Amino acid sequence: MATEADLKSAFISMIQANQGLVNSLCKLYSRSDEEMKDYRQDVLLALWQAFPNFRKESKISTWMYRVGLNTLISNHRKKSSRIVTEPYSEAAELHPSSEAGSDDGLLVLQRAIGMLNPMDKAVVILHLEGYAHKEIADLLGLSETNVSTRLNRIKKQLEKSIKSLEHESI
Amino acid sequence: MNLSNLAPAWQQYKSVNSLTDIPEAEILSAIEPRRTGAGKFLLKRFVQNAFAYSLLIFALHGCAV
Repeated sequence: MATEADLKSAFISMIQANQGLVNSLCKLYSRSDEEMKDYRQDVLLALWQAFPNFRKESKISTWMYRVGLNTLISNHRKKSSRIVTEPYSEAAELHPSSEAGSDDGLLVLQRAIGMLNPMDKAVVILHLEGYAHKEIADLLGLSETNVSTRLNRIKKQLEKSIKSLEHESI
Repeated sequence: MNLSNLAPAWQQYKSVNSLTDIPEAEILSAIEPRRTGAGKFLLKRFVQNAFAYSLLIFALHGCAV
């Protein structure tokens, strides 16, 4: 039987092997570096609490997306019920220091996705990760029809945002 | 717009973010101190409640006499 120390050691290795996934999710949901670190702590705690129940029936990344995205979405709900938050478009502008690298394409991707609402962000991230509509619906507790509708709306919204961001950077 | 066109950028975004290390100490601090914090909070509540109940019992005992 695995001891607490074994579990912790396995957990740390798993997080460090998937740190790109954890960092990317937290960055896309935060408005500042400080907030990103807070969210990362919340996601790490949620993953740790769910870790003993991980049955290895799904890929580890799928399980991490499920726990991570649902934690970030519910955090945002709790937060927005307490305070009035600024619109996402403005929020994305407020987070310049965490923008990934100097690649314009990545900046545009981060800022365009950053403008979406929390559930739409999760849907588009899972879509870009290659999950089918049914899998996205299962992971986020939505219906398949809702996922398709959201993706159609997101496409239009992203197209508009990307055009305006590219125009800004010229 | 075809969202699949953004998939390579998403993979690249993850690769760039994988360069930012999550130190072992940060992982441990995320999974350990809150439990201790919760324990301290419960102990504090227990002591407060015990004090309140003793006062109540003392007062009621005084009334009975």
